[in-house]
Amino acid sequence: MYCSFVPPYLLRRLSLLEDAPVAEAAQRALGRDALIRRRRNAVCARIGEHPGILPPAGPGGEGLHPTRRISDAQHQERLPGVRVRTEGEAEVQDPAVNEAYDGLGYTFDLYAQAYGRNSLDGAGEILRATVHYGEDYDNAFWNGTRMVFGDGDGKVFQRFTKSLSVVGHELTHGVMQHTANLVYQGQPGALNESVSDVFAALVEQHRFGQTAEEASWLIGAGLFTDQVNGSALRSMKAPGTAYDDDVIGKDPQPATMAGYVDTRGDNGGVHLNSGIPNHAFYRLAVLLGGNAWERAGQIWYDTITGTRLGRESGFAAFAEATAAAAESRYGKDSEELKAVTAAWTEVGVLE
Amino acid sequence: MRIDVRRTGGFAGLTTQWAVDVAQPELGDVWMPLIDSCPWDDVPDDANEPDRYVYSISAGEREVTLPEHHLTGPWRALVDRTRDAARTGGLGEAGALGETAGGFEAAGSGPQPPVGRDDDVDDDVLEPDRPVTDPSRWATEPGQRLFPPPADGPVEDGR
Repeated sequence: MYCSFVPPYLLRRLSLLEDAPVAEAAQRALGRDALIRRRRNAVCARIGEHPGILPPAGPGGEGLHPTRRISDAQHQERLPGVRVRTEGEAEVQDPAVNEAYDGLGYTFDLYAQAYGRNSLDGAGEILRATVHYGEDYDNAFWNGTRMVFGDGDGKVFQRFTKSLSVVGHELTHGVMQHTANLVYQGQPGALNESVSDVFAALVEQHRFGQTAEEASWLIGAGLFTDQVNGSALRSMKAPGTAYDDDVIGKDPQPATMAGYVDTRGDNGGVHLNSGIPNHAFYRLAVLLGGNAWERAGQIWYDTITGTRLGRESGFAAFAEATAAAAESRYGKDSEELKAVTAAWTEVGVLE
Repeated sequence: MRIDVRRTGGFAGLTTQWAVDVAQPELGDVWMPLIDSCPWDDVPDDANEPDRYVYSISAGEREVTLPEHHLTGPWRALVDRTRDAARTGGLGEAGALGETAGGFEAAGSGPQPPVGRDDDVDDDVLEPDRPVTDPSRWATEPGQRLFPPPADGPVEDGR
């Protein structure tokens, strides 16, 4: 039930307009999920009718530009806060605002230039962020429409905008919401988390021009204060080694199914077991070599935007979907398909 | 009565726990009105937002698991009171069991209920693998001791 001065039939027409802000507002009023699902199903149906025809790989994104809006919660837990910088406006004094603005831009660039995707929804959705959320808030999250950053407590964590990978991670939750939309619980939840880490790493590598061999594969580097013995929150290259500290403990992520964690906390360990698909992606990237956002990233992107995943897919179904995506794009005798299979086998998801 | 708040998840996936043991008359005067005002049997069953915290709260026999965006009203007041009491070494007669960070319920640590159940939090999995309380950074002022220690072992009192 929603209340609106604009009748639904008009909202439906507005939602199809080229004018992204108007269309977006109308979609929200109509019930965003239903519309997003219809649009995605339409795209998937077209691909399904022509299984050999995939969206082109490689450089794209000409003419695609982000629309960014940064707000300041002023240390309250109220959203969206006060608007402090919008698209095209000059830098401000506040580094958190500028880091969020720049990070949104670099994330937009990866999706646009590597995969031809126009923002989170593929239709130019406004990128919204709020900084300075809460008091000593040790977290960043995606609330369904915007990314939200805390300043950290200053003892363990610094402000969460300091790491570009956090921005890339949160925005990818936005892409996920418009694509495979994996349930945020258990194995699909860990995959949801892992996909965010994968594209977060790729945002940084794309930004800094790093190959798979050169990249750190760390998520959240630079967030810890110098009082914490740790380099980052997670390591895709070596899950379980990102930190080892007297106060916060040791990085608990497993790298393979042998270390799979059964827990009821953290929505069923979504930030723990994500280490397994994270490491599979890392292994694929180094097996293929070169720029990870090109072939390895393309296979993962095809997987989450394709038709093979259900909302409750687990690790094995996801692995099979990546193999199918690699075969569709690169062929059944391709080194890409072999590498995908080898990577998932190494982490114990495929036999 | 033992009151536990266990916060899991968040971007970092770190676990933090605050616990207090409250005796009469403070229990009846201060804590029970707050505990009774929480809707323990009316817990929303909706998905968490990505990277937000999950709170597992228990007071005596009552237990609940809440996504962060539902931590409002009396729930928020109960969590804030428990955290503050655990950190400061007690409000009135509340015995602070302290704050611990790190760890999780390890795989294979006994029989595991189905993922996602909101009830039946076992006491034996509440203690993190590496219980640590560093007075200088988390729980108390330097030199302060957490009192009393939990029944199953002493709380570390610093680095």
